[in-house]
Amino acid sequence: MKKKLVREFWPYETASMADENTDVRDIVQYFVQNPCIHHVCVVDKDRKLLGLINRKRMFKSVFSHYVEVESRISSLFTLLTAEKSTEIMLTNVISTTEDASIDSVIKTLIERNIREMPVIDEDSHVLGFITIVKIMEEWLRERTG
Amino acid sequence: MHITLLFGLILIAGLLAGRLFNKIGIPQVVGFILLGLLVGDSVSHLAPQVLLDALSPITSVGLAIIGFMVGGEMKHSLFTKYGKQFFIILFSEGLLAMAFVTAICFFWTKNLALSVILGALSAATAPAATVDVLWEYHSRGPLTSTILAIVALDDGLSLILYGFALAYAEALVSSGSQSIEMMMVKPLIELSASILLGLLLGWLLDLALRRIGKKDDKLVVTLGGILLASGIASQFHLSLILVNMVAGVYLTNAHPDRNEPAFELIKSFAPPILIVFFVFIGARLQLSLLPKMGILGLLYVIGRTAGKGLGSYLGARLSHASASVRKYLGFALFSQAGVAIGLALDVYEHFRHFGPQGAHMGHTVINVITASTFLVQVIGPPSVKYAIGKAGEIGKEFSAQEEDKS
Repeated sequence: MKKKLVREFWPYETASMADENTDVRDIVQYFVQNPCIHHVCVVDKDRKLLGLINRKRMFKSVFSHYVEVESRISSLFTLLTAEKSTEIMLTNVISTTEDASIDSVIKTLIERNIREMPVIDEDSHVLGFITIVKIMEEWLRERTG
Repeated sequence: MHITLLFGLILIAGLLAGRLFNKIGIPQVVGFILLGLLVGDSVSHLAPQVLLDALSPITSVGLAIIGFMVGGEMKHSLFTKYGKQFFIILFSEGLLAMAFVTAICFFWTKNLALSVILGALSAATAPAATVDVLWEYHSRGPLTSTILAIVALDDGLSLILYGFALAYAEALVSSGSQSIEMMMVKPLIELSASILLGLLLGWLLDLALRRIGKKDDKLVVTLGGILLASGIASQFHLSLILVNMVAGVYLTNAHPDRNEPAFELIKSFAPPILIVFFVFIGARLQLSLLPKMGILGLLYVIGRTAGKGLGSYLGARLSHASASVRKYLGFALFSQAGVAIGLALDVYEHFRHFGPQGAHMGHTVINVITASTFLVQVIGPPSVKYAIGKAGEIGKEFSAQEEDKS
């Protein structure tokens, strides 16, 4: 691929944001109203990334009684009792920076079986999402001229 | 019978027995134990006592995994969600159950070491059997949240109490050969060293897991770490359960989401080991001892039920929990299964080295805990249903917070 760095893929896909006290129902409503959105970034008052909420996790929380009882009880507790965004978000966010190589991003997307990851600056501010569609679009453009 | 053939039979038949019992509403662990009873000395002699003793490293791995997974449930977020409430209730119901069982068993047996051990084991509650009922009835509300948190934490509390009780009981049993200072100091040194070793394992695993991306490697490193620490614990007579529990607590609280795959991987790796583990417990059951254990078993159940009932009421009252938690939580904590039974086997493993009396004590604990598990499993799930029904939490679709406001 001719573009070597993440920054060359600017503009990134827009990142949806929620602050740390957003009610989980508002996030469900947001996902319903925006069916193409897969992730919502939870940010603090300085807009720094705290965690991610994905559609699947939100679905599990809404229908927590359908999650296997064999699962870890502490996880079931979280899913059943979550009321605000920080309680349901995943904190182990796989993210990248603008200076990262696109090769490493592709490798991570495949290895971790994810479709997109947030691009953050050195202060953890979210700049947008780099997605598999965006990368494939570039690959196709290079081949078709 | 060739050992490989025996293991194959145990795994396949164990799984079938577990599933069968699950279908009729009894935890699968009971099915494993009954299968063990069939292959053990009491019935068929397929897995004789000598073989079970020779295969004790497998039970050590089972205990280590149980300890690690129980530690992994002790998340800080469970304590912080409702302030100190869960913490107070947990200690109140766990410690009162231990106190009642210890007192009532000592009154009957006059054996303090045995009574303290049974007391510590009584704090554990079976999460799966309890959560099964909550999930089946789509229960939601303050009582449901409290039950979930308490059953997640109860086993951890039981492991901690057991660590102290075992050290104390060992000191009592071996008092003839030790000075009073050694009786006091040795258990404390062992417990502190176990906690330190657990913290070290947790810290090293946390560092390693951060650098490992592949799932297979994560499993190898986590399991390798558990075995390594368990080996060191056994070598230096430390508590391998406590070591692994502390490592689990460290991992799940240092980076909950990042370390979650380690617990998921160990959980998916564990079933064959745990089936063998529980079948071996069943194989150690001595049917001839059961009638003699009848009254002690019954006293254990009475003490445990009263302790948990009164403890949860007092804890809820002290922590200003809602009325439904105060009135009905006690009814939801009767179930007992995996951890208590696993610890019973650990008691046997420890005390069989103290001669015939020690082995008899080990057998007594295994028999009392296993027999009482049958009993509380019959009354446990219907009691949970009664509690959430009375609290009006069956089929609720709104959150705990809203119910508190209304």
